[in-house]
Amino acid sequence: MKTFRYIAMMAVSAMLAGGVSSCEDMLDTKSDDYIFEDDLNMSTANDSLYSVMGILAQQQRLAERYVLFGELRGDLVEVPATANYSLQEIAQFNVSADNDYLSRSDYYNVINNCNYAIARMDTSIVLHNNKVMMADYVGIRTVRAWTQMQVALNFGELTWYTDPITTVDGANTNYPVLPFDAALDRILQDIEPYIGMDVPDFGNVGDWNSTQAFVRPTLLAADIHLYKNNYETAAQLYYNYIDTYNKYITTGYANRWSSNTRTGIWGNNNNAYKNEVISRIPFSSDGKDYHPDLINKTYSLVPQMVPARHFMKQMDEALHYYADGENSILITGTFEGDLRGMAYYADNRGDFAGAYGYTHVKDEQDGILITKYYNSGDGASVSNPDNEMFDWQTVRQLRTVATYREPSLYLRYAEAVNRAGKPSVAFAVITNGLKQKVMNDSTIVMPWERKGEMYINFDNGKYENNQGTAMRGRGYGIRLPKSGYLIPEFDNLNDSIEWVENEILYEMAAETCFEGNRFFDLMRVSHHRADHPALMVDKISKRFDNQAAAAARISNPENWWVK
Amino acid sequence: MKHSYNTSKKMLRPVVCASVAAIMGLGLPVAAQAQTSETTVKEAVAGEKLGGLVIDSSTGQPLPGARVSVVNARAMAMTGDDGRFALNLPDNAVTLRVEAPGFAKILVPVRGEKELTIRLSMPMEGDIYKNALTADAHNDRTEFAIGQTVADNSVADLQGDLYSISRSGMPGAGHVVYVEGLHSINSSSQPLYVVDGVVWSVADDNASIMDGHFNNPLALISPDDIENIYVLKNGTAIYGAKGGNGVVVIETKRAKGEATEIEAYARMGWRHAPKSIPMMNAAQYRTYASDIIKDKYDNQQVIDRLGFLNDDPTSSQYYDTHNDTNWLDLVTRDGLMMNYGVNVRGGDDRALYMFSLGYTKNEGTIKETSFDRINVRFNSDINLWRGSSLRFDVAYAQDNFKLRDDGLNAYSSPYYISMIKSPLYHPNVLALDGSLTSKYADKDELDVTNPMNILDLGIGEGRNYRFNLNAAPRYRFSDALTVEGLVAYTFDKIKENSFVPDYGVDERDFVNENGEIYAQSRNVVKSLMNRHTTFIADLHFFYNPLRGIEHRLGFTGGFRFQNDTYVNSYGEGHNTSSDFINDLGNTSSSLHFTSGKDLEWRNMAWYLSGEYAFMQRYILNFDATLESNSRFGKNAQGAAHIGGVSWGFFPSVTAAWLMTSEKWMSNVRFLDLLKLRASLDIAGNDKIPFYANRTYFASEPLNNNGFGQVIANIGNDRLKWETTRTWRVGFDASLFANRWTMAFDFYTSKTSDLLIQKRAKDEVGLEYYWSNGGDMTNKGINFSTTVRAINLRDWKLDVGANIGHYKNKITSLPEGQILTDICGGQVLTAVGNPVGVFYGYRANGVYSSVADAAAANLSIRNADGSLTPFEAGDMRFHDIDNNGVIDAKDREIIGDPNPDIFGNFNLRLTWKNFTLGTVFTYSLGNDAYNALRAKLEAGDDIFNQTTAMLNRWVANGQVTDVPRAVYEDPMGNGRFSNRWIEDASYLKWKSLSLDYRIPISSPYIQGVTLSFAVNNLCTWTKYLGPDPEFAFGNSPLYLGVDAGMVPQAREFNFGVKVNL
Repeated sequence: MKTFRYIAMMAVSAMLAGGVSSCEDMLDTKSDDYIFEDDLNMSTANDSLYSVMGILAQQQRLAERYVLFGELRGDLVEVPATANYSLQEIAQFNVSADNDYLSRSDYYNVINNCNYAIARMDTSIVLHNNKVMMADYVGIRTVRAWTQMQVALNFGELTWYTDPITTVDGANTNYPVLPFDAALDRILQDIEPYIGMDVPDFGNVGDWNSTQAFVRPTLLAADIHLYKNNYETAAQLYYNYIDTYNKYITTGYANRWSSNTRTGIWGNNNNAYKNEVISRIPFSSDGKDYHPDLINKTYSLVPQMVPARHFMKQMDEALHYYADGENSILITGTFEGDLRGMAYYADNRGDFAGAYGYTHVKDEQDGILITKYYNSGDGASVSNPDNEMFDWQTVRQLRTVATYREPSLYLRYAEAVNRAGKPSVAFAVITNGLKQKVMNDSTIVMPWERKGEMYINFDNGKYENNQGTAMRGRGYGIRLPKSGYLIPEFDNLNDSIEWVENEILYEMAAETCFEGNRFFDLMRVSHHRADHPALMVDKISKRFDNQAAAAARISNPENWWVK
Repeated sequence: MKHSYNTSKKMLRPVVCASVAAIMGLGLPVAAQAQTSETTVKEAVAGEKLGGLVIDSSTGQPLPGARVSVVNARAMAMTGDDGRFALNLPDNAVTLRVEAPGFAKILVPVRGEKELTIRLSMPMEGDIYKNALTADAHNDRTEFAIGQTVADNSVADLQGDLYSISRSGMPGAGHVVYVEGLHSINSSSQPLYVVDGVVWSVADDNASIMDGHFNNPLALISPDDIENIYVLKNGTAIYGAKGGNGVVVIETKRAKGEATEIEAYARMGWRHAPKSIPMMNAAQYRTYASDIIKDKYDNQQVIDRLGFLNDDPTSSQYYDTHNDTNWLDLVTRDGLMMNYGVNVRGGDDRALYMFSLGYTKNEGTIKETSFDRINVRFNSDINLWRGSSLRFDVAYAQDNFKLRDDGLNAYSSPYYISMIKSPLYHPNVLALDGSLTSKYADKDELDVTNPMNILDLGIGEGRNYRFNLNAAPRYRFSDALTVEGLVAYTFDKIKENSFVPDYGVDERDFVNENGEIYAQSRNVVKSLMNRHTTFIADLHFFYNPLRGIEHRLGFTGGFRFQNDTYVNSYGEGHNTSSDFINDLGNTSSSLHFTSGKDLEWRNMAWYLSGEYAFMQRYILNFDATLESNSRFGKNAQGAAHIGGVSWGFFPSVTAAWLMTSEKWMSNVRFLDLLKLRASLDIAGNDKIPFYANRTYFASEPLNNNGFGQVIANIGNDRLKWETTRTWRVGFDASLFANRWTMAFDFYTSKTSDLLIQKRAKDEVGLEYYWSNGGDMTNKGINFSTTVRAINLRDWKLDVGANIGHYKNKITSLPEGQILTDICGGQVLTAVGNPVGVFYGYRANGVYSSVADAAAANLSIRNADGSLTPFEAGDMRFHDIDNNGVIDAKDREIIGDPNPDIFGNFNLRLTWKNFTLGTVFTYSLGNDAYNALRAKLEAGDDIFNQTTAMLNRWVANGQVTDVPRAVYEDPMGNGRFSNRWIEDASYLKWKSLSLDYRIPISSPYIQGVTLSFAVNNLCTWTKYLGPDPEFAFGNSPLYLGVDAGMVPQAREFNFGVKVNL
């Protein structure tokens, strides 16, 4: 009996003692559903791959707003009165507190996930003499910088934090908020060490090469330098990119008549938004996954965004010159209209929609709609009962939103070299294309502009097929000096530069309209001028009925932002 | 000396109350008496002599053979043939216990009288003497076997002590239960069930794949196995962070003694399909449909092809489209109910056992729906050796549900479809000459499902298995000290599968975020499995150093550990090649949806409770629990931080005063018992969302074949339990020779640290994280009373009533008000109001004329910012901000789903061997959102409507309160407004039963009882829906939302019970 009592007592004490000794272990629960913060080490390339993929998945949500915010505030689109009120407000630079687009959460979601990966990744891990994590690391830094730049461009300010928010304390910390210019400086400072470094290549994810998911540090830095009026630095960075990654403007995306009778057209420029791409945000082919809604927002009986009238007028008034092929030396026809917008057949067979065009649905609609996304959309096994445009046409889904394209790269390069004092080099980007033959032709490129700078060296034979952007977009004729598309004689260099800059701005619109670049393009170019923001105010106010009132409103930079 | 252990029962409650009572009080009478010899030495000193007479109160005759004993002492006497007894009282004697076979046990205070006349009566509902000498306060319901039918009403019988709402008339649907008000917004607010002293762990999100079906743990316990069920009123702190929503204690039957008792029962009956809302007939529907059809189809050719508009009898569609079908009659039926079981109790001095076996089958009033259960239970109390004993219980139950979707599901809920489907169509395919074929028709030309195919080809099955094993060894060191261990293991598994066929059912579109249809579902297979395992280990002691009359002191304390693992897997697939192939493997690979959960949660607690009683009338009790839980944050505020984890502290204190034991009360003759109580309880709610306290990553798909990890939750390491502090005062009283008993409680509680979603700044990248903040209060009363109105030899009439009342109020919400969308309506949770009041527009009639509408000059704002004015025939909504636009800012509180009072009243009449019992339940002052009517009177589609729509506005100048019918309701006339808010007060004649005990005196048969019972006889209400009692979800936010569930049916039962 005694022994039994003793044993029982011991058992009781042992169990009670167990109750205090290891509380933490006793309550340590696990789950196969989630990865807890402590378990997510980024010590292998495989771990960081999942981080990169997760970040890219979150970035998809920004694509539609990249386009909307970039275009609605520009001068190329208008928002019809029947469109969503929130979009109307953004286009009017008059954003109210109940606008649907005020939340920045999706942007910071990308940034915070990047912060986490950047803080946790061990880039020093070496395998076969390779810093295996480095490319992923640079890729994530690139996504973060691009996203931060979007926040600054859209909301006019950027909350700067690089420690990941993973705790409630972190969530309640007040981080510094940088105004627009300071934000760009800070982003530049952050990305500069990685200029020239490469981004990860996982092969294809979906249908697109994964390297295209990143806007490389070189380009981000170049854009910021260009905005900051560091023209030579920017030009050199753009040049480095062109030279390293072999980016050309080819005739593959030309729009031209198949003959000077204008009865048949080769409309290859319609593939440019989808294929002539440096960086993009790609989407799944599965109808149930998230897609940007740009096709329904533009190609619909109730469009949310249509081409601006003055932009179409400008496009219609531009001349195109028909030459019989890229090696032809003769212009055999001169017609009105930029073929990248919309082309009219001479035999009254109607029109050919490039970036925009007439639509004919049930004879109810003959307005001009943006067709760029629709043209670039892929046939999908979806239907849309709310979009009557699709009654007789296949529904399409947009599977790619380009964030950087070859024409943007070349035209921004042109913008930089022009301001660096080389308007004829810049103009050659539009007309004749950058190649040895053109650079050495003193009737095209003024010899005094060539002082042996690295960034205007296109002697390498690989540039031989480079074309001018307008040359291929406006009927192959524009490169021929007698076309009349020449830099006028000005008394001083600055006038030439401004003339060329205006042409570059037009060319940016013609080549990359509706792609989300316009607001930044206008703002950047305007910023080059002493009377900033006069240029952007002037351009943007053109789409308003009451231009004076609009100009007054836009003249105040505080009204530029979605906030 | 059983009672000395009975009084310590309160302290054993944490895990083993029922078993302890059984072992100590009932199971080991021999041992118990042997143990107490030492304690009675002092009491042996003879004091005064007490004489008395015990009489039967109904006859007034002396009662021989009654036992009169002194509580906590050895003195005892039996009454002689003349009903008299004589007792040598110990000099400090306070209380006598008087008992006689067949009579209710009572306590009688000794207040210096020399001579007592004691009246004993037959037992009544609500035994208030049971806990009279302890701090406990609970109203035990032991008599509900009267009127007991196949249906499970055990919780509903506590109506008044708690607020229970029957979910629906689907068999086995169960109840939603709120104890002392509402205690949470975002966490669980359902009470903790404690069965035989073991916490019944329920996973929070046991969602079913069947619309309208909810996991109902009580469906796994046979009401025939329940000995006792009550709401624990104070001392809930002992359950620590689990007791905050109230505690319902269930005790199953155990052997009472060594004599073998066998009880067998068989009951059969049927349930009768209830009436529903009156719908339009064929002729009325045709007129309505022709109003709406021109907007639904903008193509005249489609309209021209509609068969029901073509009255040419030679048309091939004529017979298919010119009927007057009552679809409700076709989908409903009278359901069969049966219930069989046997219960054997007995044993010897080594072991006592109770074995029960039961089978129940219960057909629903919707065809193809049913519930059946097999339950086996074996409870044993084993005497091992020398003071060591073992309680060993095993239970197994298996529920089988046959179900169909219920509620507002236009594709697959047969009950709802039977209301919305046009009566013009025929359920069967008709030959060209109109003759009937045996094949059910496909969906009709308006694309409405034929409900007969859902019943015929559809599948809806649920199986719920539960295995439970409790083993509790105990060892008695001395009279004063006993140690008990408990190991409880429960395995709970739910398996559900369903199939909705292609044939006869409308297609469903899969719509992506852009509003594009990316696929169509023709048929759908769903499958779900949950496995929940609970392991509880508990070690505790009972220490009773003082066990005398003057001082009684006892402690219970120990440590418990609980581990729960929960695994869930769900699969959904669409478009099998045939309606006869209905497994997931044969569904379309592009339309697979799967999800799974793998969860684990743990808690451990130290607990201690003690009770001290002085002179058997001043009682002080305390309980305290120190609990840690894997769902608490590591740095939870207000917690103790020991050993790297957070510990919550949950104390309670109760004081009770048995006033009638005071000598100066001896003059108050009419008062037999009066006990005053006051208590403070602090308990918690640990149903914090899983892993909300930890930062975690979830996987995110990328472009068809990629997967990534993204931050999915910001872990809040300060997250803590919700705390409910309850002050309670009350009394138990028995008057007029125990012919009138009552129990009353007033409580006021404050729940703080409410679990809320804290909005995160944009920089966090996530919308919110879980946090604590906000308070709500509940004030209320519970009152129950029973009166023996007639007390004659052959006639007895008991009248009882229960009244419950609570007032819930949010007193702070740091994140501001919360709006929740439910069934097309909104509920508001805001400071100064109860949780989840209806928040919508106020409608005031219909614009009868163009001039009326023009004068009001109100509009709605479209998405593009333009305005569309209300016209004649539209609803007149109240424009609160007077801006001429009816928009979200014009919403206001339009109803409160909380009742003013609720409860039941009951009558029980016995005459000789007949017993007639009846129960009425009621709820007054509660509003309801009639979402069913909002659908059936929306006038926005070609669905059939209620006859109220016959009064719809059709002509300028017409004065009516029903707006015009317009396809898709562009002006929002059917928006969530007071049109759909109704007073859902009701009085329900819940049951009526008649028992007859056949007078048999045979050595083999102890008794045979025949019974007949009717449930849900009738309901008095102004509510327009089919049944004013419904519950659509377990959260208080769903309170009062009528989602069109199958109403409760009237049930008829015959039964026979044989005691051997």
